[in-house]
Formats: sequence, structure tokens, C-alpha cells
Amino acid sequence: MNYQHVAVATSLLDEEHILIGKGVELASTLSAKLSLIYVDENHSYYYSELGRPVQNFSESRFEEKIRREMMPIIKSANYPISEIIIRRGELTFELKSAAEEKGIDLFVFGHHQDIWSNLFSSARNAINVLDTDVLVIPLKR
Amino acid sequence: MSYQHIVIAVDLNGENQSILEKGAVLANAYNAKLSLIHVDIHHAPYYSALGLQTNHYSGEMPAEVQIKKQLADLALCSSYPIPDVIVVSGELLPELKREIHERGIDLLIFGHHHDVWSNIFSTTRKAINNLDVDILVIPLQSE
Repeated sequence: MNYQHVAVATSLLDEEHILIGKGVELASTLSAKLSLIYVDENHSYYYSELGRPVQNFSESRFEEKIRREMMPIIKSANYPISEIIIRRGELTFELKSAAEEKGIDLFVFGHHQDIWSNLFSSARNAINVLDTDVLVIPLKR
Repeated sequence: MSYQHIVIAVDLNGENQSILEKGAVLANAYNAKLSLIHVDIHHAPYYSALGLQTNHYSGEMPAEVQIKKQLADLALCSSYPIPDVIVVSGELLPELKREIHERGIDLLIFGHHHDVWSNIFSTTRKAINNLDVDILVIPLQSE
């Protein structure tokens, strides 16, 4: 039972290169599909239901912006990135539904080793909620 | 930079089959060495320094030998050869750190349960917060 679809959870910071590197290496070794996933927790849809307008304009512009930010990462990766998944909403919920929809069977996460991350890390959140395997990469500060 | 030495952390009472399989698949793909590790936190040698005997009753095998045997049996079930089983006793993190350093381990595989207890006290959580190696976390179905 091999991994078919590896998704790197990115936060669009510099250290992503390490994560993408790991993702590329895994996907090429296992000849799996490689995707990037970005979940925007700050511009969730549901705020609009609270009467707060999602203040950027239109959906497409937001996605475009993220995609543009991801371009250098994608260009520097030497393995085809089959999909860029951009979602808005609560992190683990969106990851779960993305995993179901796209058949993702491995997420790659970075994890900082400080007290804040120990308590509030998205990696910790992910391993406690997702039914998918998670590869946690320690990030140096 | 690919993985050279993949180690599966084994819980003696738990369900190990699924994580053994994942380990075998990865080790096979990377052509890496595959080992099992168990850290026996209940029979730490330092208790004896407190005057507490690590008690194995006469006639019984010492804990370490027993555990080694259990791990060796598990290793036989694997589809990928597992030449080494590592049994250490002591505190989880320092022992893992030492083994990682000494044996050049670059990927650890942990199983992880989804319950409140595991969320708060899990060894996996300790591991991702303290160890310098990549850690693959496999969700386990709770009974």
C-alpha cells in the first residue's frame, strides 16, 4: 500500500523550501502525485455570515494572489506539482475535506519546536484530527 | 538527501500491523535500513539507584530480554527485512535522542490515537516537539 498523493501544507514562508524539498523527494521516490495546499484561515467564508464582509473583493483575485505567491516555489521544485489547492476556512476541516476529495494520503507539515507551537501548532492539530498520515518535519529557527 | 535509516516506534500492547506495513513500504522505496524501537519507560535502570529494585521475579526473563523477543517476533512478520530491534529503557526523549544520534536514524514512525488523552499526553506529541528528525504520524483507529 503505497502513497499515491502527497500534499505539502504550506504557509507561504521562506522555510517552505525545506518542506517542498521533502515533498519532492517523497513523491519522486514513491512516484506519487505531489500537490501544494494552502488554507487561509483569515479570510473564511463564514465571517460573512456574521455580517462582516470578506473584504477582498472577489474570490478569483484572492486565489490569484496566492497562486502568484506560490509561483517561485513551484518553479524551483524539480518535480511536477500536479495541483495547487487553495481553501478558506478552518484548517483541519478543510484539510479533511480536501483529503477526501482529492485522495490525498499523506500530508507534509513543518513544525517549530517552541512553546507556542507545542500548544497551538497546526501540526499538532492535524495529527489529532486527520485520518490521513502526516509527516512532521522539524523546522529550525 | 533521502532516508537512510527508518525506525518504527512500537507499542507492545497496541496494534502494530499497519505501521509495520507503512514502514516496510517506505524502506523499500528508499532502499533504507528498517528497525524497530521500544523505549521501556517502566523498567528504567535509574529506579535501582533510588533503592527500588527492578523486580523481575526469579525464573522469569528480565524485561529487556522479553521485550526483545516480542519485537523480534514482530520483525519476522514484516515484508521488508528488519535486521535490528532496539530496546532501551529509561526516559522516552533522551533515550530516543541518543539512539537517533548513534544510529543515524532519519525517520521515525509513530502510531497515534485520536482521543483526548492522546491529544494531551501523547508520546507522538512529545516527539514532534523535541526530536530533530522527521516523524511520520499514522492515525490509529481507537477501539
